[in-house]
Amino acid sequence: MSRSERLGRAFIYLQTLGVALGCALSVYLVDRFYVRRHISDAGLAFGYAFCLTEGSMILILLALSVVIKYVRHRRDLRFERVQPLIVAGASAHLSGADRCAELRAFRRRYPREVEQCLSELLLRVRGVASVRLTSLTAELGLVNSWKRQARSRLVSKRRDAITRLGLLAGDAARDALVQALDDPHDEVKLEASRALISAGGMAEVAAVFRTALRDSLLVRAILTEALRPYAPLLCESAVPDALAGKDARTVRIALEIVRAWRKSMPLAGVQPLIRHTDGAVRAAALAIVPQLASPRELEPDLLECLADEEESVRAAAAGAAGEMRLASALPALEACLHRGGPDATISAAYAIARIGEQGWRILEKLILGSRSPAADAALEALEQARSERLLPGTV
Amino acid sequence: MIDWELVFYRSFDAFVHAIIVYVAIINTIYLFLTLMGFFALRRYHARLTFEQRYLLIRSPLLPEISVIAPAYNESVTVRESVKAMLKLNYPRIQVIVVNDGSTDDTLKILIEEFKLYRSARAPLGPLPHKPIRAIYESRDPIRLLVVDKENGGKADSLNAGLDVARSPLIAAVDSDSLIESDALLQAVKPFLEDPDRTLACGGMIRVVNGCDVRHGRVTKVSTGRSVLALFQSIEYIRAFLGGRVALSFLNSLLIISGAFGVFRRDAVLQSGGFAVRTVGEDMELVVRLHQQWREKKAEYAIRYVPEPVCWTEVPESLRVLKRQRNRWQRGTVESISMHKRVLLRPKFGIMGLFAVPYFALFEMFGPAVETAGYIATGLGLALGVISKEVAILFFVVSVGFGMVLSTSAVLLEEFTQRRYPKTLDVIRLFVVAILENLGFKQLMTYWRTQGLVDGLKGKTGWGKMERKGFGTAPAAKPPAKSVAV
Repeated sequence: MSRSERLGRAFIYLQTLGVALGCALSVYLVDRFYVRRHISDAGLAFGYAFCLTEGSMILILLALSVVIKYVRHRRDLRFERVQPLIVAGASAHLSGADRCAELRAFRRRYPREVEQCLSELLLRVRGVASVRLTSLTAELGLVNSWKRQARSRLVSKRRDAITRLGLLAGDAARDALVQALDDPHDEVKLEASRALISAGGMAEVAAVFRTALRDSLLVRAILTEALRPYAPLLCESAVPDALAGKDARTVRIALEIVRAWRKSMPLAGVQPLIRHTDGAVRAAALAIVPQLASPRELEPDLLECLADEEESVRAAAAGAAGEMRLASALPALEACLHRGGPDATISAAYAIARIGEQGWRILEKLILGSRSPAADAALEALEQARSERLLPGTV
Repeated sequence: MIDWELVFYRSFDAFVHAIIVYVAIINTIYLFLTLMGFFALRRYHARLTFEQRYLLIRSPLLPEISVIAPAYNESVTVRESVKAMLKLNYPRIQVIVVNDGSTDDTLKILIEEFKLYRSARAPLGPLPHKPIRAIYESRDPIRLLVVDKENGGKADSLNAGLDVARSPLIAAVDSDSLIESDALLQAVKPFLEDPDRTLACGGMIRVVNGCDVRHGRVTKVSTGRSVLALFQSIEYIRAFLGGRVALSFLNSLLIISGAFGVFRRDAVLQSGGFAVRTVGEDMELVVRLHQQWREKKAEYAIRYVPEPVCWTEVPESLRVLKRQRNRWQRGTVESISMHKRVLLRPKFGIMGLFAVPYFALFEMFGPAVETAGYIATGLGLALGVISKEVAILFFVVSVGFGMVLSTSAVLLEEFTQRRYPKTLDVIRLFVVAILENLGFKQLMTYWRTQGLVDGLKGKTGWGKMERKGFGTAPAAKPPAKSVAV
């Protein structure tokens, strides 16, 4: 558990204890100074005091929730009313007229609405208009305000501020966004990553890739997709740098990201990873072999891995051999099929089925023999292959 | 000489006072959990944006999930519910319907509707279950498997599904519940955030009675008009938002509802699958996972996501409700009895020292003690054994405290979830939360006491659940939800 996580949990315990103690104190005071005067039985008086205090608190909270609903409704109505005026002023400013004074007056009167309107406009405009709108936002003091909010203790405030800073043109918020990549909360990190990727600078994209390498699977899965358009560029330096690292976890994750891009890559430095000491790295490296520019160069290594000690490695090697339709791998695949382990057995059977007629004959021979897990897997793979349901990655 | 009359009077008075203290302790703990749940919800309740959801759905790193839906005599609803499952907003999904030896047309309907053919696929898992007659796959490009097996009950069907599934995660669902389209995406989040530690994740179950349902989706959330359903809505909100968020925060969540739960397949296989000799197989599995992982001294997490992931129809007749509560109570008794050795053992951490004792002492025996309290208070008052003040104190502690708990749960819902957009609906829920304690709660307490007695006697069986269906014709099936309230 990270330090911020531990602190967060401690804060929740403290909050709960604080409120519980506050409630207990209120009940005691109501009991001591009000109920006890009317009811002599101590237990009954305490019971009444509890219900009275808690009941009042709940009624207050209920009233508060109704008020909040009403305030939200009023705010929505006000936004609908002033939005056209703010948008008209900002649009005129973008067309060249100086409407700063008017918009400043709006900002004083309707700060929330101005922020929202300008954020929405920033989302829609591009090029020169975006630059001009960014400088207008700075003039109105919004950029500094958002930068301050980006350091807030409240996650929602930080996230909203980073979302808005990410809409600004140029380098106006670059530092704040890069800093936000280290935020302990995923939502803030993801917003910053999105903004940095859309800014498109290679240094920023590489920074986001490094975030994906060290973060949770949730962040990684989202960023892997967001980084997909930059995959070839990342494979030039950022990915090889990660693969050359010493940390097996980082190397495995980098390989998994490359695999997830499902693009053919001219990636160097994969061969040593197929012989890595960590089985998970070996399996991940084997999985990307079919994507490499010249996968046949790694054929001997792949065949060797079909006899690996670890089942996951054998399964990955079988998957790769099937995807590459390596007829030369058939004897090794057949051995792998018989060696055992449900994942490796089924992967090997599917790989043999993918190779074509030659593989089908091996499977048919197996089916005709005695019943075994290998024969069951062979029957299933053959059926899938013949019904033309065999798609890449189907097991 | 001993004055036996005085001894009787004193003992009776002490008994009633002990019950009052007991009820006060239960309610105080529950109130404390509700409070903790509120703060935990505020801190950890993060939703993905539309764009993030879009990217996540497209990502090949998203783990594959097998949705396992046991079906027994579901001919009326199975077509629609399978279609709804296939439409779930999750890209890497395989639906496995386990036909548990239905005596009606369930299998025939599935074969015809989804163009199934008898597949050569064989179960690879090690779990024992009743023999599988056949496995069917669809000729259409949909990821549907139908496992036809001999009748063995819900847990047995889930085990068969687990043996056939090959994905790293499995979702155990009720084939007659409505699953929100984003439910899997929400429930998989804890596994993505902490893949090494997370073993299981449950989601919020809500009451569908009164809501508008179109094409297997809840299109408008409303409280409806059935008073019985409204009372149960309050119970669900209280149980799921109050207790479970806090227990999940303490990593001591003991129940993941059988209506919807996502599990790591390898963890369930390692722990031996679902137990077939209990009607509370959902709770039993979760307690077992806790127990085994604590024994291994391995880091783990069993999580609860407060997102509404599944909508279920609750009974609108007292007869069916009675049967359901009886079964839930028996499930609790069986699960606690099967794992009584974790009770008060420090090596099981907060689960052994707090969660299981809390369930044993308050959820299992609580209804019996409370029923005894009502009887003793009424009797004592009638015989003049206890004072009026003591009787009032008992009702203040049990009914007044109960009202505080129920209304707090409604407020928790309003401040964190905001699923009821109309102020009128919130006020209606609030009023119902107060009224629920004036009769309904006592009736549930009595039925649960009967369930406790049946459980201790070893009574088994599910009983029949009559459903109105979501705007369709009624169906009958053994229900499978388990909610400790």
